[in-house]
Amino acid sequence: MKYVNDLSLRKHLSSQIESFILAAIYHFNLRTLKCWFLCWGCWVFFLVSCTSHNEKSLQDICSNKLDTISFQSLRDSVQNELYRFKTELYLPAYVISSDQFGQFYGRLVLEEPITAKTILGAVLETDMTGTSLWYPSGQKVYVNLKGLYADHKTTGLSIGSVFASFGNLSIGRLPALSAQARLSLSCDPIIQIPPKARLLDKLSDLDLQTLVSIDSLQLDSNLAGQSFAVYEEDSFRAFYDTKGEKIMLRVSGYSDFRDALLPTDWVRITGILGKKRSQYHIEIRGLQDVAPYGM
Amino acid sequence: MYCVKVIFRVLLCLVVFPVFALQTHQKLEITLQDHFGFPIEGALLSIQDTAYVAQEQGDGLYSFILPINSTYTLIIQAQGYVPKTLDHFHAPLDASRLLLVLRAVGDPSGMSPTQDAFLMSETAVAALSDDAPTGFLLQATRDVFVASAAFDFSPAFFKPKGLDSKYSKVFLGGIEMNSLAHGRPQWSDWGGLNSLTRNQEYAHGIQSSATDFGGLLGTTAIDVRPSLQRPGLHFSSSLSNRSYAFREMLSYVSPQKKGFSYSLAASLRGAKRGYMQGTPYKAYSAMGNLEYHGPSGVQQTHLSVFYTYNRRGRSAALSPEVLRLLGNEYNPYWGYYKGQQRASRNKTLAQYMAILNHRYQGEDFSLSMALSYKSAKDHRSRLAYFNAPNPSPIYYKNLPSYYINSTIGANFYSSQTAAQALLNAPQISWDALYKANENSSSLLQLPYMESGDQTQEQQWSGVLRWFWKPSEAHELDGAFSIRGNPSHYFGQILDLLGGEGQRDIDPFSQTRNDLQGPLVKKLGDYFGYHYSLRTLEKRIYVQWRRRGRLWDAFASLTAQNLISSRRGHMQNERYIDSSLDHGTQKSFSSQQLKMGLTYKFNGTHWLSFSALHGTSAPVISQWYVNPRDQDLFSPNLQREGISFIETNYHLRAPRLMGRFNLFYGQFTNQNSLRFFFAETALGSDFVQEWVQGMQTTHKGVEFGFNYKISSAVQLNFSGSVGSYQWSNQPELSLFFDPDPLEPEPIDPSGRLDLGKVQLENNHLPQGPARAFSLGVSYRDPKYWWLTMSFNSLGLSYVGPSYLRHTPQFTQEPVYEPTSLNDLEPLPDLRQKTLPNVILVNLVGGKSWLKKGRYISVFLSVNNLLDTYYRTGGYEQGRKAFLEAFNEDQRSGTPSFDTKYWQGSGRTFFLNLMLSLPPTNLKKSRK
Repeated sequence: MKYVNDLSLRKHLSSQIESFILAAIYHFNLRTLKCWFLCWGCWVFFLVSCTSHNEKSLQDICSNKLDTISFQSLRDSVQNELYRFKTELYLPAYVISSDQFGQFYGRLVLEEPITAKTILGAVLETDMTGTSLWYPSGQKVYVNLKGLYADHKTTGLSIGSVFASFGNLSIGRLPALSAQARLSLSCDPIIQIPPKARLLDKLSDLDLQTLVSIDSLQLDSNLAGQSFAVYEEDSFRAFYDTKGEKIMLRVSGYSDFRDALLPTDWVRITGILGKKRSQYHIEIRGLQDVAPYGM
Repeated sequence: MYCVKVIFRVLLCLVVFPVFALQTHQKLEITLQDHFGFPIEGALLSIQDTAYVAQEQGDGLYSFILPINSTYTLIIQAQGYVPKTLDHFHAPLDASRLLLVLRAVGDPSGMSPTQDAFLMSETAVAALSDDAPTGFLLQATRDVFVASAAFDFSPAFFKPKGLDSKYSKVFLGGIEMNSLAHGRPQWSDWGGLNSLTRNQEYAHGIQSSATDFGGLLGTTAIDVRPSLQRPGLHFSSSLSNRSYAFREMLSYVSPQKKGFSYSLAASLRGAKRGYMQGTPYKAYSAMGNLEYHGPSGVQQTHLSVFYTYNRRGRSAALSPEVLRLLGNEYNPYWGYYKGQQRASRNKTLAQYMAILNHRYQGEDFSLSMALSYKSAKDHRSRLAYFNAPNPSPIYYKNLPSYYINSTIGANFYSSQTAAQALLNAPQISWDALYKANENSSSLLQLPYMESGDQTQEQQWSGVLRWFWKPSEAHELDGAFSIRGNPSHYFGQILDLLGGEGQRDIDPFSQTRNDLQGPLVKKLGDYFGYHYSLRTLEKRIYVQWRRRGRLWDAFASLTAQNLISSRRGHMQNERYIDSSLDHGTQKSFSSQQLKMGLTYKFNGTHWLSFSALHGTSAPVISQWYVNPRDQDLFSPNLQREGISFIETNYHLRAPRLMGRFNLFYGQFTNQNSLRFFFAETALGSDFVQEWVQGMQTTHKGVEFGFNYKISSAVQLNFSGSVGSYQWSNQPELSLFFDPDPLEPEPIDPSGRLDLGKVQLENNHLPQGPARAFSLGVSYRDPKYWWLTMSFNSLGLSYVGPSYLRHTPQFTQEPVYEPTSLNDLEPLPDLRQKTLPNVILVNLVGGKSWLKKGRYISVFLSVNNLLDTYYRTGGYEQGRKAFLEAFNEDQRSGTPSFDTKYWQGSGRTFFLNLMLSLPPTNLKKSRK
């Protein structure tokens, strides 16, 4: 049929559709009814059971990444000023800190894998809380460094975001969601990280932000009877070794064990080595890091 | 309609004239049929302003003996059909029959939007987390204003007269459906059963209702008796992009045979994703009715049984910061688990109900008794966390504003980083929650768990109604009803997310929730709290109505007694002496009086006045401050006082019809109970905020007019302008657990009275106080129709934070005082309004009728122009003292900004309906 113009075509089509519907109704009988219900049933089945396409593929939680960088290379990149990573590089590391008992707020301390010659450490400054839930001590992770800042300070190597103060940039805490996106879990099992045995007079800055264990320490006698920390205060408690060398024990005023009494006997303390001004301090994960050490 | 008029006029010319001079009265017979050609029985045909009423001859035939040589207005009313009025009606000069066809209520081939169309307002309902405030409006009515309010205004959460939906009473089969817990009717109780619940009698405002005393806002009586429904098979299939994507409904109503008739219905609704992201929807329902009329028709028995199930994901109000970042359709309450979408906040409503009615229907007297049993559950799931990071992706510490508002200085780099990270991962990571639980298996407490806040209730009701018509003009009716409502409330472990068990303790105070039960609870166990309420309501009402030629009047009186008591099933460590076992019983008695007078100038104009005065008991949900933990009544709990008057002017001219209403009302002793974390000048804690003794004023106008430009084109104009305000300064008290571990405790007694709230002249956040609608409808003689409406909505206020209006707000904080309080600038606490909005709605359709088989298709598009608008909002109450508030606001992007609910963009609803008559029903001959 030839159509003179769109209008006549539309009129013809609409009248055709109408006739079709009227014819269908006219010929409505039980058989047609069954047919209609079958079609309708298929339509409902289609709507109900059709599964939606995944709008997003499941992010790999566990993977082994390539393009890694070692702690030494990280340290070399930083040298003496704030450095920003521009390429997608992954830093393989073991988590050695734990906030399970209220310590290490705002930080995730990472140590080089044991295969390295000199085991170095670094601290990831972050606003993430509950880090022990996803990154418990002994968990191997890969840190995506692209866009992150790194710096080498008195306290050792630190990685994070940045903040400006009087025009100077320093490492700031990485927002929680950003930190979670950058930390990929390795498929390796969680292990017990062996601490490096150290003597107080042999401590060096290379040990900063690594897990160390120091034997034969005794509390400053002036602090006998005191608790691990004062509420809401970052507390430092002096311990001495047999040679009279001093190290401070750092405990957060928000830790779960702050009210526990400090041990007066000789102990072995395992923890993460830090430094404030020129004084080393050791930060424990929990009370299990302070063990009696017989003389 | 046009054909009928032609037939009538032809008859008039050919038949009337020859016999005109010979007779004074003439017999007129009228046959009433529906669209299928089936007779309509039980109709009332009368002549306006006279005592002439037609006699029913049976089989749809009615006859009049009318004086000739006069012009009348013929009024035809039949239950289930839209009433018809024929003006300038002449009695024919010869005994003849007229055929008139009535349109069934809810028939989509008409002018006004249909019941199916109204149900699209479920989108507005789904957008709110709780029950529908406007659900009761879901019906087609003859009132132009009510139709606009239901169809055009309700997506913007419009509330007629600024009144909460608890002031509207809904009855189904004679049983009151308003819940005792919060007073509101729950629309989902009969959701999906539209085809059998179409038969509704609605009285708007303070009017008399044949069913019961009714509510201030109106009374709806749903009659599901099969004998009053259109017999046949009805099928409806719908597609939509609103709260559900598809809806299938099937129902069958049998014709009456040997006194028996029955009806059956089933429906299915669903959506993988509702209108908002992450709000999957699944609902199904079924209903069966059986009715028996005794041989004389005097005794009638009806049994109705139905079941409804509705499960949907919920969404949240959002701050402007989140809206800017993540868009209008963002919903934080869902995420992916193993690649599949999973909502964290689901609401499941399921109920089954049985109603048995027996009626004795005499000539002037009827007595009916209704008994019902209902079992219902309301389950709401949420993600709970214990000594673990808040899993919500929009927790304030994840937002860019957290870094702008930082106390150590704004950090714009981190703010940008936070924004980017949120955009990359905006939803809950369920896999991460399972991982956290896996890593915590050695701990005594799982960090994450899915818990439910469950309500299971039963309701036993009995109603005895009587109706007596001592004379033509007077009617007396009344009823006595009793409702028993034992209900259980408990927390429950729904999913341990890979864990084995969970310690049942309060993580903030480290106190046990269940001293008599095991410490570690497993999947499905009671968790957190478990208590029950036993409520008994007794009600009586009596009503007198008078109908006359010039004036109508009514007066009704009702009295109610409400008793409730709490019983705790768990003894918690925080309230050892007041958490377990039976508590004190409390009772409220209240009365209400309602009166009205209507004066009819003539058939075209009439004026009515009505008033309601009395008291009503507070809803059960406000009786206890913290019923989960302890048996403590809300202090100074009193009956609410109501005084309301309204006046209506009705116009029914040949081309113009409508109503104009003026109203004024005052409420006293209203209350508010809310729960949130607050930082006050006197300390911080998770509090129950109790505000009592509120007085509010509601005044304004509402109107709706319909103008017939021609037989095919109509113009509708309706609207409402009102002022709804607080008119006094109510008292505010905070209740909290006096936790010794809390770093900034407020008061060791666990209660703090903060004095008066400066709320006077603030506006109630009850939706748009100004709403106008202009609509054009076209109905083609070939049975297709189109309606377009332009709607303007404005003057919608944000809900204020009460704590900011108390004296302690400007007080020097007790903890960390700075002595700089005097220098803090006073913020502008004036109430904010939402922007005005113009919404355009369109609905059109076509229907076909062939050999009694009826098909209709219609498409409705709401918000045609895809306008962005907000439907409501509330100020967050957390920063409740001046210094903290100013600090948060200083940056311009506060962390605790006002949160808003969003309106839907352009949405559509496509409906196909098919009606088949029963094969054994005979058609009457013309």
